[in-house]
Amino acid sequence: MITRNSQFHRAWVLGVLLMLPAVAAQAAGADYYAQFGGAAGMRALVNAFVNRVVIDPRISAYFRRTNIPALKAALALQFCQLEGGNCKFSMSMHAVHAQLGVTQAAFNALANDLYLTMDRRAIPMAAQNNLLAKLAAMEPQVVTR
Amino acid sequence: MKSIQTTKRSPTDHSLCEDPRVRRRVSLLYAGIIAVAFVCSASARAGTGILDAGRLTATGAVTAVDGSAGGGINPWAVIAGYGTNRQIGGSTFYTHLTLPNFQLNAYGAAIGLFDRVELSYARQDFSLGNTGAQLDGAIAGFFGAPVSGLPAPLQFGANDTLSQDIIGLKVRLFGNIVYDQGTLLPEVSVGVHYHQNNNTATIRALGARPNGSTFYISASKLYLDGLFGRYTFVDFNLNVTDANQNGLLGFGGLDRNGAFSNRYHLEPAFSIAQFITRTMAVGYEFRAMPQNQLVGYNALGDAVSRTSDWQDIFLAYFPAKFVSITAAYARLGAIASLPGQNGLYLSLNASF
Repeated sequence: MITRNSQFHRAWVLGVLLMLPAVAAQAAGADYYAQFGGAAGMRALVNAFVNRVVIDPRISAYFRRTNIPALKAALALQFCQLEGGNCKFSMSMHAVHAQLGVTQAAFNALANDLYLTMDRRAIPMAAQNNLLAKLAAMEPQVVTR
Repeated sequence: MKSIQTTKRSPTDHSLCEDPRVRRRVSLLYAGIIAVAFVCSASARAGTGILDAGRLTATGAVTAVDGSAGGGINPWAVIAGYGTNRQIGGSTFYTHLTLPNFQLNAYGAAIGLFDRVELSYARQDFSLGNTGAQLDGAIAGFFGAPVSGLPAPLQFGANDTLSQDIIGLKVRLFGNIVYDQGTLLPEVSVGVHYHQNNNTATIRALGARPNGSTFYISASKLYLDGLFGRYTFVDFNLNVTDANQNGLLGFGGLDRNGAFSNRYHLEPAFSIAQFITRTMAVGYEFRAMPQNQLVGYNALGDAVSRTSDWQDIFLAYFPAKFVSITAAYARLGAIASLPGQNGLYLSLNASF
């Protein structure tokens, strides 16, 4: 009779370990804000990003009645705070999106525009993904449909 | 089985592209890709349409050999295609695996409904080539009888093919690989694959059942800011199954009294993948396989029954959102008494 080989038992251990925080390698203390180019870099990024968003046919309708300069100022402040730039952003993401009827597809299209803009501005990948991860986690407060 | 041998091809005699059946399938696949690309470009302007592929590139994964969205050998918790909670997505795939003694061709399609339910179909053709005649010789040698004296279902001859159809259902329970960041919460789905092996007499002669099911629960986790600041993906599955070689050699086996036994086994599996860019990932997969006893409790039974856990290392690339190519080195180990069944795996996937 054939009996099982020993790899099987190792798989259990490995599999369980993998579901634990496989990734503790968050470059702790990395100065992402500097990688975005500090205040000037963040402003330039947000400017290019919003300019791309408002002409993106997938989501431009959401911004038809938006005060664009105010949106840019708020995003620059928020991104600065998220990336350790010592800014204070205090708006409720839930409240500002409550009436917009944002879909997951629209949320993702915006994320897509953001990383395309960051690619174009040659922001280092780790800094890009740090910001994307923090924004992605806001989906429950932003998407209402 | 023997009567239709002449229409079957030997994997060792012809190249893949010369096989008319393969050519037909590949052209069907290309037609599928073109149709999908057309639908996608037509709906891209609409913005919020139901087929608008609202999820981000690569989040529909590639297609596992059993037809589900996943890696190469494991289904993952993600739902096939790019549909969001308000959309419908789908995918088609073609996979070819060359092993020293066998060739596997698999193709199929899946549809994802509202990022909640996935329905899939896959067809697998497992060509024995010249190996069939070798197996005949080994079996005849064991019985001390001429090959012609073997029972018909146990005569493979040259160019035989084992095939199975697999229907899959997957339901996402909770979680989202993209949105669940800064938390350990994975995306979790449960699923089932129902297999119908088309070589009924052969499978029964082995002491197995030609049809059966594999149940699984899959937990997938994507870290957007993972290792090296890149995406890192991990998946852990538990399979409940009595499949032999994933159903290619049927389901269940024999107990000591020679009676059919279909005790289900709990089998772990996992996948890991590290993205190099947003559209290219390398990874490793492991899938434990049940070890049943086929034929009988004798040397022949031991030889035919020997099963290995499946493993692969893979490179997956998305040249465009709607297309992916996966190349892998698959290590399937022993299959039907023949050890070292390891080889190159190539898979093409089109999604919307």
